Parts: sequence; structure tokens; C-alpha cells
Amino acid sequence: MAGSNLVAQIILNGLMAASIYILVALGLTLVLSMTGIVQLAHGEIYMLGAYGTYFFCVVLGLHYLLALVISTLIIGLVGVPLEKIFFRPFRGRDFMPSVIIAVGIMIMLQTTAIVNFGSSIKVVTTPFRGVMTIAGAIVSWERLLVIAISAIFVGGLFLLLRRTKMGLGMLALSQDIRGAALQGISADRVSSVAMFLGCSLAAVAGGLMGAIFNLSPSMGGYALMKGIAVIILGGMGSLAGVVLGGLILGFIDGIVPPLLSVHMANLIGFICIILILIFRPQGIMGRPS
Amino acid sequence: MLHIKGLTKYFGGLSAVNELDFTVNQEEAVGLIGPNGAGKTTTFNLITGFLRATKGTILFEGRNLVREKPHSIAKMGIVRTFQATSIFPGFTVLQSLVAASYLDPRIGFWEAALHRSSSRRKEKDILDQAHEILKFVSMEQMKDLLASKLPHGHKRILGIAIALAAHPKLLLLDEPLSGMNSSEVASTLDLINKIWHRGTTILLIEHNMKAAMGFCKRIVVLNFGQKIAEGSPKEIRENKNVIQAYLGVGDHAA
Amino acid sequence: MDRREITIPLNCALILFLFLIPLFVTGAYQLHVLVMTGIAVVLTSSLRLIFNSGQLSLGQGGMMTLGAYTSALLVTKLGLSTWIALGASAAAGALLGLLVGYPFMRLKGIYFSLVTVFMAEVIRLIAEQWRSVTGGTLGISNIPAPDAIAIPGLFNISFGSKVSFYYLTLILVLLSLLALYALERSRIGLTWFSVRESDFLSESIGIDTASSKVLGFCIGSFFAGLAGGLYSQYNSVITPSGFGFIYSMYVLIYMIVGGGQSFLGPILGAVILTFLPEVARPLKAYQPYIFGGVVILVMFLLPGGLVSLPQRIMTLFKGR
Repeated sequence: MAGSNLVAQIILNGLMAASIYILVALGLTLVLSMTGIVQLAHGEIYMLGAYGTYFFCVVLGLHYLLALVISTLIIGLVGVPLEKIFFRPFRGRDFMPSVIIAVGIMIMLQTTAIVNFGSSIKVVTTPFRGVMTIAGAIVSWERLLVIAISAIFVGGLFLLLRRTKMGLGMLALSQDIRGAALQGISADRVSSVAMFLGCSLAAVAGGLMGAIFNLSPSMGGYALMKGIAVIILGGMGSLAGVVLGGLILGFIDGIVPPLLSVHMANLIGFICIILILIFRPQGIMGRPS
Repeated sequence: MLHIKGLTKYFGGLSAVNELDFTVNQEEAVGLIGPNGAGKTTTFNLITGFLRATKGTILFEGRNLVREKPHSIAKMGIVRTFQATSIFPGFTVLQSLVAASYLDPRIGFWEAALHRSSSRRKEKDILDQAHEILKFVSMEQMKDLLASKLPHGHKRILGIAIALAAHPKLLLLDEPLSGMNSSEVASTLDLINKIWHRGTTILLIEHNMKAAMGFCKRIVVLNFGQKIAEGSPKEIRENKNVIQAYLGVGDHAA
Repeated sequence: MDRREITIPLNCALILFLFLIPLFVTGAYQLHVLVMTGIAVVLTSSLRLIFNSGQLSLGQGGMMTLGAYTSALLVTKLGLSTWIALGASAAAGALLGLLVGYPFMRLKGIYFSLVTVFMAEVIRLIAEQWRSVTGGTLGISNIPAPDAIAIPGLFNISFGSKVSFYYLTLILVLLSLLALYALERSRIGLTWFSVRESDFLSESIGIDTASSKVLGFCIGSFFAGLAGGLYSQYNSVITPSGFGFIYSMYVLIYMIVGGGQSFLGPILGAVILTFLPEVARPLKAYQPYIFGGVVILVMFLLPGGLVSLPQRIMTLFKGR
């Protein structure tokens, strides 16, 4: 009984971590490959998602899921003028100013969080307390929720990209196909949509994570690192690769700590990435440069 | 000098170049022609190491180039120009040639860093050399102009001059005449002729049929990555396969 | 050489001024700011070198951490002389650059930058996790100041005071800048510029672009490591997160906001942007807004950086 419980916990933790990593990395890769922005503020968007959910849920008293959705939508929408004002003028040109601007925004967002919410740690409690049993193992609702919502978002994203005209246009543009422009796909609109999606993904990830762990203004840095690691591992410019990379890293971080230690988890993840870089620098499913 | 045997390059499932065999002998002027997408630039990329061949060998003066890096191949004496204009946009014309002349390994890194007098002398040699090349290509007047501000035709000539500064034994020219008007074409052909007369072996890709046929002594024709004909310009002009290849492409004549 | 006749005396005057600063700046905190500015100048200028050699490293903070820990460990655990430790910290940076340089160079543009971020993060993780050696999150403390330089009968320079550290930093900064400038003007500098202008053209005429970039990365990392070693001996305490991602970002900001094109740019950027938060200190929590705001504003108005300000003013006056 205890054994299968432990196994279930481990798998669940792995899936949960993977879900969050995938959400963050997908958002980052969308923005990177479709808007050309080096979105170093992506971690801060994630952090804002967490704080936004906290605000609507804890401060305003809304239901957690409602708070999550509202926060995600708002932040996703906020990303659109952000892209338009701060990054679009630099698109295609020297990318350096846009990197600096992203960092500037990153700094300002972090400061906003600190100023508005204080630098102490915050807690978000969800109404999904409690546990249920699956196949004789005890699993927590919250973790299941994270996995479920992530799956919905990821699935929705893939549908959007593969089935809608806008989505296909975005894919075409991200692969630099010249024909994309000829087919009347507007790079501007693609940028806006990609930014909206990218920020939404980060925000929902933050909102979900905030329920499991605590919030702090510096939580964004961690998310950015993980997002980058997933992209490096899974493949630059490949969405399926990101999912794969997220699963791998998520499971490493879910499985290894209880069995060995958090240190070993980090180390193993690190070794995987180094190996990938040496033998296949473009990532598992990335396209060779 | 250059022996290509069984050269093949696959991109995914598609073969851009397939079992290509041909030779370029010393001091020859060979033309490589073919319809768009025939694999001519790919062949250049393979020869110069910018692409790794899937199969086959490329022998240059006895050495197989297939696994070599482009800079090593360049040091062996094969220098190329690029189809898209390739210059150093931020350099002036003179600076471009000086930079290119540093292929000469005679100045040690530390020598130059410490500006010793021996290095200063060699730097003077390089400067002289650069001036010489400028004179050779008739661009002396423009030596202080910014490369990016040159008119198109002169940019292409600069590209050739940069290649010359690397002391090529075999010069690969990728559509040197593209985008030029007739007087520029004439003067560029003149220049290429001069280079050839100096003893440099030339392999030329060109869409301008008249120019290619007029200048090259031997032509190799590619289509769909394979050699479909080889011979003198006259032979090629009358070769049925060649005519087919050019006319049979889509609905429009070449 | 008209310009030379102006700039050389100007530089000498500036250097003289820098040496005389401790005569009228005596506050410990002010001297601290100056030392940190000096370190920032070295880091930013070395980042510029890497950038000029063709790739952008966002891991200078990581190299600095590496240098700091190398120096600290050599002194506290092995009892080596601080000067040797300082040299070792620089060498450590260069060595790591060499080790990861070739595999990293295969990545293009922004992916290279991402990987350097990751490398810095790995350095931080190792510093944090390898408790037995590095003391974990608490870091290493009680790192001694540099050993005294003594020639019996002539002089004895000890480094206990902030003023002495200021001079040490100043000298190291000046030497570093000299070296960086010389490199930029040398043949290898020309090679770097060619590679940056067009790396496949450079490759086609025989320049080993990969090695050229790796060399740039190594040298830049050398100076970052040196800065780290200096810091460890200055601050006597180092922690794994002292110079993480955020700091690498700051160094990048200093360089770009100062102006990436000229040698002066990074120096200007480092100085002004280190002083700015100090000046805005009264604003307390809102200070980062000023910093972020200035940075963004400069990027919009002066994409070429602060260095390009004189040119911009001139074009405005000429009425285009």
C-alpha cells in the first residue's frame, strides 16, 4: 500500500513539475520564435501570474479558478501592448536594444511586485484541498488540478496552432518561410497573438504554482531558468521538443529528490543538458542550425 | 587539381547533389551551369566545406576535402565568392582588403599586439599588397569608401578582390555577374580574365550564358544535382540534354 | 594625428584625477561604490570584448563567481598567497571559457547567450550544493585581504583599508583596460571585427572563426574571473548568488546603454549606471523604476548608447 502510494506520489510530482515547466517553456518558445523578442522578462510574467491570482483570490476573495482565469487573461492581454510599444519597433533590426528593454521591464515588474505586495512570502490557498485515492494511492487534488489545467492549455495550444489559419500562419512565420508574408499573414498580428499566448501560458503557470508553493517577488528567475533549460534540452524552435524536454526535466525533478536528493536532481538535469549540448546542440528535437 | 568523385549530398530525403563527378585541371577556366536549383551553389558549398558531403570525395592536390573546415580549405588555396553579395559592410574598401590579407600567417599574434617593428614592417607589406589588389581591380579611387555604401556592381568586385587577397590557387566564383549592367559585365569579365591569365584556376557559376560560354574553355552542366553534360561551349550549346533541361523547366523558357 | 594630441593628455589628466580622488573622497561608503564601479568597468569592458568577437555571453556573473570562489578557496583552504589566488581566479575564468567555448560556439546567436546563462546558473548551483567545499548558501567568509607587498627598507603596502583597496582596484582596472584596448587594436582584434562583420566571409578567406570566437570568450572570461577574485579579497564574504543572472544582466545593460560600438561606451555605462542607483537612493523602493526607466528611455532615444549622444546632438543641429 505504502509502496504504490510512494510511486503514485512520485509520478504525480513528476507530472506536475513537467506541466509547469512545459507551460513556461512553451510560452517562452512561442515568444522567442514568433516575435523575435528575447523575452527575458518571461519569468516576471510568470511571477505576475502568481501574484495576480493571489490578488483576485486572496485579496478580492474570488474563487481560485476564477481568479486564475482572470489573472491569466489580463496578463496575456497586457503583454500585447507591451510587445507593440516596447519590442515591435526593434523587430528585425539589431536585437540588442530589445534585450535591454526586456531586462528593464523585468526589473520594473519585479519592483512593482515588491512595492505592491511586499517582499515577504505570500500563500495562496485553493478550495481544492484534500486528497482522493486513485488505484489505492493517495493523491492531492491540487496537484491533479495543476496537471489537468496544464494539459488543457497545452492541448488547446496545439489545436490552435495546427488547426486554425492564424496558428498555421504563426508556425510558418516562425520557420522563416518567405511565403508566409506572401500569403497575407501579417507578422504584426502574429506577434501580438504569440505574445498574448506566451504571456498567458506563463501567467497560468505562475497562478498554478502559486497555489502549490509560496510566492515571492523573485520566483520569476527560477521559472526563466527552467524554461530555458527545457528549451535547450528539448529543442530550439520545436514545440514538441519543448513538451519532451519538459517531461524529462519534470520527471527528473519529481523522481530524484525523494529518492536521492534535490542536489542530485539538479545535477542529473545539468548533466543531461551538457550532454545534449555536446552531442546535439540544437536539442533533442531541434532543427540543426 | 580538383577531382570530384561520386559527390552526393542529401537534405533529408532529397538529394541536392547526386553522384557528381568532374575535374578541374590547373589553370583551366571551367564553367558550371544549369537551371535554377540544379545544385551548383550546393556543389560550391560542398567543395569549400560549408556543407558536409553525404558521400563521395573531393580531392584537391591529393588531399580529400570532405571533412575539412572552410577556413582550412581556404588556407589550402581554394577561395570562393558568394552568390549574395558578401563584403564586410562596416569596413572601408581598403580595410576590407587589409583584413583579408591577414591570411598571411607571417605576423604572429603577440608580435602584432606589441607592435614590434618587425610586425610593423609586415603590416606595411600587407598594406602594399592591399593597394596592389585595389589597383588590379581598378578600385583605387574608392579605397576609403564604406563597403556598404558602394554601388552593387562594385560590391561584387570588392567581393572578388577580398577573395584575391586570400591568394587563391583555385577561385570559385558564384554568379559574379548577377545584377550587373552590360558595361559592368564587360569590365568584370575582363577582370576575371586577368585573374585567370595570372595563373589562377577558375571555376565559375554563371546564369549569364553568353558570358559563361564566352569566357570558359570547358563547361559542366548540372541538372537536379547530376552532371548531364560536359564539354566545350560549342558542344554544350548543341547538346540536346542541355537544351531540354533549360526548356523543360516549368512553363517558361529559361 | 590631431585627435591623438588631445586624447593622450586628456587621458593622463583623467588618470591623475582618479589617483587623487581619495584625497577628497574619504567616506567608506563612497569608496566602496568606487571600488564596485571599478569592478563593473572591468566586467563590462570584457563583455564588450566577447561581444566584439562575435557572440554575446550573458554569463559574466557566473565567471565572476567562479573567480571569487577559486581565489577564496585557494587562500582559505590551501593557504596560498592572495596574489597567486588572484591570478588563479583569472585563469579559472579563461579555462572554463576554453572548456565550454567550442561546444557553445556551435550554437547561433541567442541560443549561445541562453547557454551562457545556463552555465552561470550551473556555477551557482555547484557553489550552493557542494557544501563541503564551498560552504553552501552561506558561502565563504573571512576571506583575508590581499597580502601585503613589502620590500624591506623601501616600503610596506598593506591592504587593510578601503583607500588601499581603491588604489589596488584602480591599478588593476587601468591595466585591464590597457590590455583590452591593445587586444582590440591588434591583429586579433581585426580578426574579431571581420568575423563579426561577416562570419562566413571570414571563414571563406581562411579565418578560423570558431577559434577566434573561443579566444574572445576566454579572454573576456579571464577578466571576469579576475574581477571575481578581486571582489572576494575585497569583500571577505562571498555567496553563491552574489553575482547571478541579474548581475550578468546589469553588466549587459551597462555595455549597451553605454554604447557597444566604442571602447569608451562600456566604461561610461558602467560608471553612470552604477552611480545612478546611488543618486536615486533617497527614492528607496522606487529606485529600480528610475533605473529601469532610464535604461528603456536610452534604448529608445539612443540605440547606439550614451556614447552616441554627441553624434545625435550634431545630427539634430545639422537639421538632417
